[in-house]
Amino acid sequence: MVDDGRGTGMGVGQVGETTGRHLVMFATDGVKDGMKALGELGVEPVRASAMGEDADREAPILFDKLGVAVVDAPPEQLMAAAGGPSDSGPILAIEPERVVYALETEPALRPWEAQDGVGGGRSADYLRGYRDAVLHLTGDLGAPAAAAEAGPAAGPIDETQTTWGLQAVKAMNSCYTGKGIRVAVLDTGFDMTHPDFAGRTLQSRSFIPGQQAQDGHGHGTHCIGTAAGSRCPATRPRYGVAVDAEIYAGKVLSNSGSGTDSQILGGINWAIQNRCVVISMSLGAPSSVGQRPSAIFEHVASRAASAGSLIIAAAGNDSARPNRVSPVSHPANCPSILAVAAVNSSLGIAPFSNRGINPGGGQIDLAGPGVDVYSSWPMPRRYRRLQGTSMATPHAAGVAALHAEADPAARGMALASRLASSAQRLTALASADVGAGLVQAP
Amino acid sequence: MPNEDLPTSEPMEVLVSVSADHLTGIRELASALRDAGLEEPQVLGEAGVVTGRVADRRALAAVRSVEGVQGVEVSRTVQLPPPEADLQ
Repeated sequence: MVDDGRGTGMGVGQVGETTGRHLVMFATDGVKDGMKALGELGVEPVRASAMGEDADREAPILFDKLGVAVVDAPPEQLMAAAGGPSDSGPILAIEPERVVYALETEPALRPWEAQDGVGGGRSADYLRGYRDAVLHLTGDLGAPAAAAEAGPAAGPIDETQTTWGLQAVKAMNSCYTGKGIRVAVLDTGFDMTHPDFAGRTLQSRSFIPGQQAQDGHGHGTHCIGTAAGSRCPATRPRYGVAVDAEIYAGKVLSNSGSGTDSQILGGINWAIQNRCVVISMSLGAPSSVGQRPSAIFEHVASRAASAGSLIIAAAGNDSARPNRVSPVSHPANCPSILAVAAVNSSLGIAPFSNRGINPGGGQIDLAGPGVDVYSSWPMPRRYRRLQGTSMATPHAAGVAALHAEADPAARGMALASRLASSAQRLTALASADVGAGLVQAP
Repeated sequence: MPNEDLPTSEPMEVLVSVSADHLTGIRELASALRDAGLEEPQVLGEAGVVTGRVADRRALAAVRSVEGVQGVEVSRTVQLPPPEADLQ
Protein backbone atom coordinates (compact mmCIF):
# COMPACT_ATOMS: atom_id res chain seq x y z
CA MET A 1 0.00 0.00 0.00
CA VAL A 2 1.01 3.59 -0.41
CA ASP A 3 1.21 5.97 2.46
CA ASP A 4 1.54 9.54 1.36
CA GLY A 5 2.27 10.75 4.85
CA ARG A 6 -1.27 11.92 5.48
CA GLY A 7 -2.56 8.63 6.68
CA THR A 8 -1.26 5.94 8.94
CA GLY A 9 0.28 3.57 6.53
CA MET A 10 1.96 0.25 6.68
CA GLY A 11 3.33 0.91 10.04
CA VAL A 12 6.56 2.46 10.78
CA GLY A 13 4.98 3.78 13.91
CA GLN A 14 3.87 7.29 14.38
CA VAL A 15 3.77 9.42 11.28
CA GLY A 16 5.97 12.35 12.16
CA GLU A 17 8.02 14.61 9.98
CA THR A 18 8.83 13.05 6.65
CA THR A 19 11.73 13.80 4.36
CA GLY A 20 10.30 13.73 0.86
CA ARG A 21 12.15 10.52 0.21
CA HIS A 22 10.28 7.25 0.06
CA LEU A 23 10.94 3.71 1.07
CA VAL A 24 10.08 1.16 -1.57
CA MET A 25 9.61 -2.37 -0.30
CA PHE A 26 10.06 -5.15 -2.81
CA ALA A 27 8.45 -8.56 -2.73
CA THR A 28 10.74 -11.41 -1.74
CA ASP A 29 11.52 -12.24 -5.35
CA GLY A 30 10.74 -8.78 -6.65
CA VAL A 31 14.00 -6.91 -6.17
CA LYS A 32 15.14 -7.41 -9.76
CA ASP A 33 11.79 -6.55 -11.35
CA GLY A 34 11.21 -3.73 -8.93
CA MET A 35 14.63 -2.28 -9.67
CA LYS A 36 13.85 -2.49 -13.36
CA ALA A 37 10.61 -0.60 -12.82
CA LEU A 38 12.46 2.05 -10.86
CA GLY A 39 15.14 2.17 -13.54
CA GLU A 40 12.55 2.92 -16.19
CA LEU A 41 11.56 5.85 -14.02
CA GLY A 42 15.13 7.07 -14.02
CA VAL A 43 15.62 6.04 -10.41
CA GLU A 44 18.46 3.62 -10.03
CA PRO A 45 19.35 2.85 -6.44
CA VAL A 46 22.90 1.97 -5.51
CA ARG A 47 23.22 -1.39 -3.85
CA ALA A 48 24.28 -0.91 -0.24
CA SER A 49 26.50 -3.94 -0.54
CA ALA A 50 28.32 -2.41 -3.50
CA MET A 51 28.95 0.97 -1.97
CA GLY A 52 32.37 2.14 -1.02
CA GLU A 53 33.87 5.48 -0.18
CA ASP A 54 33.61 6.51 -3.79
CA ALA A 55 29.89 5.87 -3.94
CA ASP A 56 27.71 8.68 -5.16
CA ARG A 57 26.50 10.15 -1.92
CA GLU A 58 23.41 11.62 -3.50
CA ALA A 59 22.28 8.37 -5.07
CA PRO A 60 19.31 6.47 -3.75
CA ILE A 61 20.13 3.31 -1.83
CA LEU A 62 19.00 -0.26 -2.25
CA PHE A 63 19.32 -2.59 0.71
CA ASP A 64 19.07 -5.62 -1.51
CA LYS A 65 19.24 -8.15 1.29
CA LEU A 66 16.29 -6.51 2.95
CA GLY A 67 14.41 -5.75 -0.25
CA VAL A 68 14.11 -2.06 0.56
CA ALA A 69 15.17 0.92 -1.54
CA VAL A 70 15.28 4.55 -0.46
CA VAL A 71 14.44 6.84 -3.37
CA ASP A 72 13.87 10.51 -3.95
CA ALA A 73 10.82 10.60 -6.20
CA PRO A 74 7.14 11.43 -5.72
CA PRO A 75 5.02 8.46 -4.67
CA GLU A 76 2.57 8.98 -7.56
CA GLN A 77 5.44 8.64 -9.99
CA LEU A 78 6.73 5.57 -8.20
CA MET A 79 3.30 4.04 -8.25
CA ALA A 80 2.88 4.72 -11.93
CA ALA A 81 6.22 3.14 -12.69
CA ALA A 82 5.47 0.07 -10.67
CA GLY A 83 1.85 -0.31 -11.65
CA GLY A 84 1.08 0.33 -8.00
CA PRO A 85 1.98 -1.77 -5.01
CA SER A 86 0.23 -5.10 -4.91
CA ASP A 87 0.47 -8.52 -3.43
CA SER A 88 1.47 -10.00 -6.75
CA GLY A 89 3.74 -7.33 -8.21
CA PRO A 90 7.38 -6.72 -7.41
CA ILE A 91 6.64 -3.69 -5.20
CA LEU A 92 4.83 -4.42 -1.96
CA ALA A 93 4.63 -0.96 -0.48
CA ILE A 94 5.76 2.62 -0.81
CA GLU A 95 5.90 4.81 2.23
CA PRO A 96 7.43 8.09 3.27
CA GLU A 97 10.70 8.07 5.10
CA ARG A 98 10.50 9.56 8.54
CA VAL A 99 12.73 12.27 9.80
CA VAL A 100 15.06 10.81 12.36
CA TYR A 101 17.02 12.44 15.10
CA ALA A 102 20.71 12.48 15.56
CA LEU A 103 22.05 10.89 18.68
CA GLU A 104 23.61 13.98 20.20
CA THR A 105 21.24 14.91 22.97
CA GLU A 106 21.49 16.91 26.11
CA PRO A 107 23.38 14.92 28.73
CA ALA A 108 20.33 14.20 30.86
CA LEU A 109 18.24 13.29 27.86
CA ARG A 110 18.86 9.84 26.46
CA PRO A 111 18.38 9.17 22.78
CA TRP A 112 15.22 7.10 23.04
CA GLU A 113 13.61 9.72 25.23
CA ALA A 114 14.58 12.37 22.74
CA GLN A 115 12.92 10.53 19.92
CA ASP A 116 9.76 10.15 21.92
CA GLY A 117 9.77 13.71 23.03
CA VAL A 118 9.45 12.61 26.62
CA GLY A 119 11.68 13.57 29.47
CA GLY A 120 12.29 17.05 28.20
CA GLY A 121 12.11 19.27 25.18
CA ARG A 122 13.85 18.58 21.93
CA SER A 123 17.26 20.11 21.68
CA ALA A 124 17.88 22.36 18.76
CA ASP A 125 20.64 20.42 17.14
CA TYR A 126 19.38 16.87 16.96
CA LEU A 127 16.78 17.24 14.28
CA ARG A 128 18.14 16.02 11.04
CA GLY A 129 16.55 14.61 7.98
CA TYR A 130 16.87 11.16 6.64
CA ARG A 131 19.09 12.62 4.01
CA ASP A 132 21.79 12.99 6.60
CA ALA A 133 21.29 9.42 7.63
CA VAL A 134 21.64 8.33 4.04
CA LEU A 135 24.87 10.26 3.73
CA HIS A 136 26.18 8.47 6.76
CA LEU A 137 24.98 5.11 5.54
CA THR A 138 26.73 5.55 2.24
CA GLY A 139 29.74 7.45 3.43
CA ASP A 140 30.66 5.39 6.43
CA LEU A 141 31.11 2.10 4.64
CA GLY A 142 34.78 1.56 4.82
CA ALA A 143 35.38 4.67 6.92
CA PRO A 144 37.63 4.37 9.95
CA ALA A 145 35.89 2.92 12.96
CA ALA A 146 37.15 5.60 15.32
CA ALA A 147 34.15 7.87 15.00
CA ALA A 148 31.80 4.97 15.45
CA GLU A 149 33.19 4.10 18.85
CA ALA A 150 32.53 7.52 20.28
CA GLY A 151 28.95 7.57 21.35
CA PRO A 152 27.55 10.39 23.40
CA ALA A 153 28.42 10.23 27.08
CA ALA A 154 26.09 7.95 28.95
CA GLY A 155 23.82 9.67 31.37
CA PRO A 156 22.45 7.93 34.40
CA ILE A 157 20.00 5.29 33.23
CA ASP A 158 16.80 4.78 35.12
CA GLU A 159 16.13 1.05 35.07
CA THR A 160 13.84 0.93 38.07
CA GLN A 161 10.83 0.02 35.93
CA THR A 162 12.23 -1.27 32.65
CA THR A 163 15.64 -2.15 31.29
CA TRP A 164 17.48 0.34 29.14
CA GLY A 165 17.17 -2.07 26.25
CA LEU A 166 13.39 -2.09 26.34
CA GLN A 167 13.41 1.69 26.55
CA ALA A 168 15.77 1.93 23.58
CA VAL A 169 13.63 -0.26 21.33
CA LYS A 170 10.45 1.42 22.67
CA ALA A 171 8.82 -1.80 23.73
CA MET A 172 7.08 0.14 26.50
CA ASN A 173 5.33 2.47 24.09
CA SER A 174 3.95 -0.25 21.85
CA CYS A 175 0.38 -1.42 22.03
CA TYR A 176 1.58 -4.79 20.71
CA THR A 177 2.75 -7.63 22.94
CA GLY A 178 3.45 -10.48 20.53
CA LYS A 179 0.11 -12.08 21.36
CA GLY A 180 -0.57 -15.01 19.08
CA ILE A 181 2.97 -14.95 17.69
CA ARG A 182 5.23 -17.93 18.17
CA VAL A 183 8.86 -17.13 18.84
CA ALA A 184 11.44 -19.90 18.76
CA VAL A 185 14.65 -19.36 20.69
CA LEU A 186 17.23 -21.96 19.68
CA ASP A 187 19.78 -22.00 22.47
CA THR A 188 20.70 -23.91 25.64
CA GLY A 189 17.07 -24.47 26.61
CA PHE A 190 15.14 -22.76 29.40
CA ASP A 191 14.79 -22.87 33.16
CA MET A 192 11.26 -24.25 33.41
CA THR A 193 11.16 -23.44 37.12
CA HIS A 194 11.70 -19.70 36.70
CA PRO A 195 8.83 -18.00 38.56
CA ASP A 196 8.59 -15.06 36.14
CA PHE A 197 7.30 -17.43 33.46
CA ALA A 198 4.62 -19.21 35.47
CA GLY A 199 1.46 -19.53 33.40
CA ARG A 200 3.14 -18.71 30.07
CA THR A 201 2.58 -20.78 26.95
CA LEU A 202 5.90 -22.52 26.47
CA GLN A 203 6.88 -25.47 24.32
CA SER A 204 10.29 -27.03 24.54
CA ARG A 205 12.29 -29.66 22.76
CA SER A 206 15.83 -30.86 23.11
CA PHE A 207 18.01 -31.69 20.13
CA ILE A 208 20.93 -32.62 22.36
CA PRO A 209 21.15 -36.38 22.92
CA GLY A 210 20.83 -37.30 26.57
CA GLN A 211 19.89 -33.80 27.79
CA GLN A 212 16.51 -32.38 28.64
CA ALA A 213 15.43 -28.93 27.44
CA GLN A 214 15.95 -27.65 30.99
CA ASP A 215 18.72 -25.04 30.76
CA GLY A 216 21.91 -26.20 32.44
CA HIS A 217 23.94 -23.27 31.15
CA GLY A 218 21.88 -20.10 31.52
CA HIS A 219 22.38 -18.50 28.11
CA GLY A 220 19.04 -19.71 26.76
CA THR A 221 17.11 -18.52 29.81
CA HIS A 222 18.68 -15.07 29.46
CA CYS A 223 17.85 -14.82 25.74
CA ILE A 224 14.27 -16.04 26.20
CA GLY A 225 13.83 -13.50 28.98
CA THR A 226 14.80 -10.67 26.66
CA ALA A 227 12.71 -11.84 23.71
CA ALA A 228 9.57 -12.74 25.62
CA GLY A 229 9.96 -12.19 29.38
CA SER A 230 7.09 -11.26 31.62
CA ARG A 231 5.15 -8.00 31.67
CA CYS A 232 5.24 -8.13 35.48
CA PRO A 233 8.31 -9.97 36.76
CA ALA A 234 8.59 -10.74 40.46
CA THR A 235 10.91 -7.80 40.87
CA ARG A 236 11.39 -4.85 38.57
CA PRO A 237 12.68 -3.95 36.09
CA ARG A 238 10.73 -5.53 33.27
CA TYR A 239 13.19 -7.03 30.79
CA GLY A 240 11.09 -8.86 28.14
CA VAL A 241 10.02 -7.36 24.82
CA ALA A 242 7.16 -9.56 23.54
CA VAL A 243 5.43 -10.32 26.83
CA ASP A 244 2.57 -12.32 25.33
CA ALA A 245 4.47 -14.23 22.65
CA GLU A 246 4.28 -18.01 22.68
CA ILE A 247 7.72 -19.31 23.54
CA TYR A 248 9.30 -22.24 21.71
CA ALA A 249 12.49 -23.14 23.53
CA GLY A 250 14.60 -25.41 21.33
CA LYS A 251 17.71 -26.75 22.98
CA VAL A 252 20.32 -26.95 20.22
CA LEU A 253 23.28 -26.12 22.46
CA SER A 254 24.30 -28.44 25.28
CA ASN A 255 24.61 -27.52 28.93
CA SER A 256 28.28 -26.91 28.22
CA GLY A 257 27.31 -24.49 25.46
CA SER A 258 28.21 -26.52 22.38
CA GLY A 259 26.11 -27.59 19.44
CA THR A 260 26.51 -28.74 15.88
CA ASP A 261 25.04 -27.50 12.62
CA SER A 262 22.95 -30.69 12.51
CA GLN A 263 21.40 -29.95 15.87
CA ILE A 264 20.76 -26.32 14.94
CA LEU A 265 19.09 -27.38 11.69
CA GLY A 266 16.98 -29.84 13.67
CA GLY A 267 15.82 -26.92 15.81
CA ILE A 268 15.07 -24.76 12.80
CA ASN A 269 13.06 -27.58 11.23
CA TRP A 270 11.05 -27.94 14.45
CA ALA A 271 10.40 -24.21 14.58
CA ILE A 272 9.17 -24.16 10.97
CA GLN A 273 6.95 -27.18 11.65
CA ASN A 274 5.42 -25.27 14.55
CA ARG A 275 4.90 -22.15 12.47
CA CYS A 276 7.13 -19.99 14.57
CA VAL A 277 7.13 -16.57 12.93
CA VAL A 278 10.47 -15.63 14.47
CA ILE A 279 13.46 -17.89 15.05
CA SER A 280 16.04 -16.28 17.33
CA MET A 281 19.53 -17.76 17.28
CA SER A 282 22.09 -16.25 19.64
CA LEU A 283 24.77 -18.57 18.40
CA GLY A 284 27.45 -18.81 15.79
CA ALA A 285 30.92 -19.81 14.77
CA PRO A 286 33.56 -17.24 13.80
CA SER A 287 34.12 -16.76 10.09
CA SER A 288 37.31 -15.65 8.41
CA VAL A 289 37.77 -12.71 6.07
CA GLY A 290 36.65 -13.68 2.58
CA GLN A 291 34.64 -16.68 3.77
CA ARG A 292 31.39 -17.33 1.94
CA PRO A 293 28.25 -18.22 3.86
CA SER A 294 27.07 -21.81 4.18
CA ALA A 295 25.03 -22.67 1.09
CA ILE A 296 23.01 -25.15 3.12
CA PHE A 297 22.09 -22.70 5.86
CA GLU A 298 21.10 -20.21 3.18
CA HIS A 299 18.96 -22.89 1.50
CA VAL A 300 17.27 -23.59 4.83
CA ALA A 301 16.83 -19.93 5.82
CA SER A 302 15.31 -19.14 2.45
CA ARG A 303 12.88 -22.04 2.80
CA ALA A 304 12.08 -20.94 6.34
CA ALA A 305 11.34 -17.38 5.19
CA SER A 306 9.11 -18.68 2.39
CA ALA A 307 7.21 -20.68 5.02
CA GLY A 308 6.80 -17.55 7.15
CA SER A 309 9.63 -18.11 9.63
CA LEU A 310 12.26 -15.38 9.79
CA ILE A 311 15.64 -16.32 11.24
CA ILE A 312 17.44 -13.65 13.27
CA ALA A 313 20.97 -14.43 14.44
CA ALA A 314 23.84 -12.91 16.38
CA ALA A 315 26.52 -11.15 14.34
CA GLY A 316 29.17 -12.49 16.71
CA ASN A 317 31.55 -11.14 19.35
CA ASP A 318 34.92 -11.65 17.72
CA SER A 319 35.92 -8.00 17.44
CA ALA A 320 38.04 -5.98 19.86
CA ARG A 321 37.56 -2.44 18.67
CA PRO A 322 39.25 -0.27 17.79
CA ASN A 323 42.15 -2.65 17.17
CA ARG A 324 40.31 -5.45 15.48
CA VAL A 325 37.02 -5.88 13.67
CA SER A 326 35.96 -9.34 12.59
CA PRO A 327 33.42 -10.42 9.99
CA VAL A 328 29.88 -11.58 10.76
CA SER A 329 29.74 -15.15 12.09
CA HIS A 330 28.20 -18.29 10.61
CA PRO A 331 25.23 -18.60 10.17
CA ALA A 332 24.26 -14.91 10.55
CA ASN A 333 26.31 -14.28 7.39
CA CYS A 334 23.66 -15.93 5.20
CA PRO A 335 21.67 -13.58 2.95
CA SER A 336 18.32 -14.82 4.27
CA ILE A 337 19.30 -14.59 7.95
CA LEU A 338 19.24 -11.21 9.68
CA ALA A 339 22.53 -10.42 11.42
CA VAL A 340 22.20 -8.38 14.61
CA ALA A 341 24.97 -6.17 15.99
CA ALA A 342 25.19 -4.91 19.57
CA VAL A 343 25.05 -1.30 20.76
CA ASN A 344 25.44 0.12 24.26
CA SER A 345 23.11 2.43 26.18
CA SER A 346 24.71 5.48 24.54
CA LEU A 347 23.91 3.85 21.22
CA GLY A 348 27.57 3.42 20.43
CA ILE A 349 28.78 0.23 18.81
CA ALA A 350 29.87 -2.43 21.32
CA PRO A 351 33.63 -3.08 21.07
CA PHE A 352 33.11 -6.81 20.55
CA SER A 353 30.43 -6.50 17.85
CA ASN A 354 31.34 -7.88 14.44
CA ARG A 355 31.18 -5.91 11.21
CA GLY A 356 29.87 -6.51 7.72
CA ILE A 357 33.07 -7.32 5.87
CA ASN A 358 32.48 -10.42 3.79
CA PRO A 359 30.58 -10.68 0.52
CA GLY A 360 27.55 -12.79 -0.21
CA GLY A 361 25.26 -11.76 2.64
CA GLY A 362 27.83 -11.07 5.30
CA GLN A 363 26.59 -7.62 6.21
CA ILE A 364 25.02 -6.43 9.44
CA ASP A 365 21.26 -5.94 9.07
CA LEU A 366 20.15 -4.46 12.36
CA ALA A 367 21.38 -3.48 15.80
CA GLY A 368 19.98 -4.22 19.23
CA PRO A 369 20.84 -3.45 22.85
CA GLY A 370 23.71 -5.76 23.75
CA VAL A 371 25.70 -4.25 26.61
CA ASP A 372 24.78 -4.47 30.30
CA VAL A 373 21.61 -6.39 29.50
CA TYR A 374 19.56 -7.47 32.52
CA SER A 375 17.39 -10.55 32.03
CA SER A 376 16.34 -13.85 33.55
CA TRP A 377 18.88 -16.45 34.69
CA PRO A 378 18.28 -19.97 36.02
CA MET A 379 17.22 -20.22 39.65
CA PRO A 380 18.24 -19.62 42.30
CA ARG A 381 20.13 -16.64 40.86
CA ARG A 382 17.02 -15.49 39.01
CA TYR A 383 18.51 -12.45 37.18
CA ARG A 384 21.80 -11.48 35.67
CA ARG A 385 23.48 -8.84 33.49
CA LEU A 386 25.35 -9.95 30.39
CA GLN A 387 26.72 -8.47 27.21
CA GLY A 388 27.09 -9.77 23.70
CA THR A 389 25.44 -9.89 20.31
CA SER A 390 23.66 -12.86 21.91
CA MET A 391 21.77 -10.30 24.01
CA ALA A 392 21.10 -7.94 21.09
CA THR A 393 19.55 -10.73 19.01
CA PRO A 394 16.55 -11.51 21.25
CA HIS A 395 15.80 -7.80 21.49
CA ALA A 396 15.44 -7.84 17.70
CA ALA A 397 13.47 -11.10 17.79
CA GLY A 398 11.04 -9.70 20.35
CA VAL A 399 10.56 -6.55 18.33
CA ALA A 400 10.00 -8.72 15.24
CA ALA A 401 7.20 -10.50 17.10
CA LEU A 402 5.52 -7.18 17.81
CA HIS A 403 5.72 -6.19 14.14
CA ALA A 404 4.39 -9.60 13.12
CA GLU A 405 1.40 -9.12 15.42
CA ALA A 406 0.84 -5.60 14.08
CA ASP A 407 0.82 -6.74 10.45
CA PRO A 408 -0.34 -10.26 9.61
CA ALA A 409 1.14 -9.83 6.13
CA ALA A 410 4.61 -9.24 7.56
CA ARG A 411 6.13 -12.70 7.43
CA GLY A 412 9.47 -13.97 6.23
CA MET A 413 11.45 -11.39 4.30
CA ALA A 414 8.51 -8.98 4.39
CA LEU A 415 8.96 -8.94 8.15
CA ALA A 416 12.67 -8.31 7.63
CA SER A 417 11.85 -5.33 5.42
CA ARG A 418 9.51 -3.98 8.04
CA LEU A 419 12.17 -4.27 10.73
CA ALA A 420 14.64 -2.42 8.53
CA SER A 421 12.32 0.36 7.46
CA SER A 422 11.17 1.04 11.01
CA ALA A 423 14.64 0.92 12.57
CA GLN A 424 16.09 4.02 14.14
CA ARG A 425 18.97 5.21 11.98
CA LEU A 426 22.14 5.51 14.00
CA THR A 427 23.69 8.40 12.18
CA ALA A 428 26.92 8.42 14.16
CA LEU A 429 27.66 4.82 13.19
CA ALA A 430 28.54 3.04 9.97
CA SER A 431 25.93 0.85 8.33
CA ALA A 432 28.65 -1.78 8.05
CA ASP A 433 28.42 -1.89 11.84
CA VAL A 434 24.70 -1.46 12.52
CA GLY A 435 22.89 -2.02 9.22
CA ALA A 436 19.60 -0.17 9.01
CA GLY A 437 19.90 0.81 12.67
CA LEU A 438 18.38 0.09 16.07
CA VAL A 439 15.25 -2.07 15.98
CA GLN A 440 12.10 -0.22 17.02
CA ALA A 441 8.78 -1.56 18.26
CA PRO A 442 5.71 -0.67 16.18
CA MET B 1 33.06 -24.64 1.39
CA PRO B 2 35.60 -23.68 4.03
CA ASN B 3 34.86 -26.78 6.05
CA GLU B 4 35.78 -29.09 3.19
CA ASP B 5 39.42 -28.95 4.21
CA LEU B 6 38.81 -30.83 7.41
CA PRO B 7 40.65 -34.13 7.84
CA THR B 8 38.35 -36.87 6.66
CA SER B 9 39.90 -40.06 7.91
CA GLU B 10 37.37 -40.13 10.76
CA PRO B 11 33.57 -40.30 10.60
CA MET B 12 32.03 -36.93 9.86
CA GLU B 13 28.65 -35.47 10.62
CA VAL B 14 27.33 -34.02 7.37
CA LEU B 15 24.48 -31.85 6.11
CA VAL B 16 22.88 -32.73 2.77
CA SER B 17 20.61 -30.20 1.08
CA VAL B 18 17.96 -31.46 -1.31
CA SER B 19 17.22 -29.85 -4.66
CA ALA B 20 13.78 -28.37 -5.17
CA ASP B 21 12.62 -31.07 -7.58
CA HIS B 22 13.38 -33.84 -5.06
CA LEU B 23 11.80 -32.30 -1.98
CA THR B 24 8.54 -34.19 -2.28
CA GLY B 25 10.50 -37.42 -2.39
CA ILE B 26 12.90 -36.51 0.39
CA ARG B 27 12.27 -39.76 2.31
CA GLU B 28 13.09 -41.87 -0.75
CA LEU B 29 16.15 -39.73 -1.24
CA ALA B 30 17.17 -40.43 2.37
CA SER B 31 17.04 -44.15 1.58
CA ALA B 32 19.24 -43.62 -1.45
CA LEU B 33 21.63 -41.62 0.71
CA ARG B 34 21.75 -44.46 3.23
CA ASP B 35 22.62 -46.86 0.42
CA ALA B 36 25.39 -44.50 -0.61
CA GLY B 37 26.87 -44.52 2.87
CA LEU B 38 25.00 -41.90 4.90
CA GLU B 39 24.58 -43.44 8.34
CA GLU B 40 21.56 -42.74 10.55
CA PRO B 41 19.97 -40.27 8.15
CA GLN B 42 17.63 -37.74 9.74
CA VAL B 43 15.09 -36.15 7.43
CA LEU B 44 14.39 -32.47 8.11
CA GLY B 45 11.51 -32.05 5.69
CA GLU B 46 10.68 -28.40 6.29
CA ALA B 47 14.32 -27.43 6.10
CA GLY B 48 14.86 -29.50 2.95
CA VAL B 49 17.90 -31.15 4.49
CA VAL B 50 19.00 -34.64 5.47
CA THR B 51 21.66 -34.97 8.16
CA GLY B 52 23.74 -37.99 9.10
CA ARG B 53 27.28 -39.36 9.30
CA VAL B 54 29.71 -40.68 6.74
CA ALA B 55 32.64 -42.96 7.50
CA ASP B 56 35.23 -41.32 5.28
CA ARG B 57 35.87 -39.14 2.25
CA ARG B 58 34.91 -41.89 -0.18
CA ALA B 59 31.46 -42.16 1.40
CA LEU B 60 31.23 -38.38 1.33
CA ALA B 61 31.83 -38.42 -2.43
CA ALA B 62 29.25 -41.17 -2.89
CA VAL B 63 26.66 -39.22 -0.95
CA ARG B 64 27.42 -36.11 -2.96
CA SER B 65 26.79 -37.93 -6.24
CA VAL B 66 23.26 -39.13 -5.35
CA GLU B 67 20.68 -37.64 -7.68
CA GLY B 68 18.69 -34.92 -5.94
CA VAL B 69 21.56 -33.80 -3.71
CA GLN B 70 22.10 -30.07 -4.01
CA GLY B 71 25.07 -29.75 -1.71
CA VAL B 72 26.93 -31.45 1.12
CA GLU B 73 28.72 -29.72 3.97
CA VAL B 74 30.55 -31.04 6.98
CA SER B 75 28.70 -30.05 10.14
CA ARG B 76 30.43 -27.28 12.08
CA THR B 77 30.39 -26.86 15.85
CA VAL B 78 29.39 -23.72 17.70
CA GLN B 79 30.59 -23.11 21.23
CA LEU B 80 29.32 -20.59 23.76
CA PRO B 81 31.59 -19.14 26.41
CA PRO B 82 31.24 -20.74 29.87
CA PRO B 83 28.25 -19.54 31.92
CA GLU B 84 30.40 -17.42 34.23
CA ALA B 85 31.73 -15.30 31.35
CA ASP B 86 30.38 -11.77 31.15
CA LEU B 87 30.56 -11.64 27.36
CA GLN B 88 28.15 -14.00 25.63
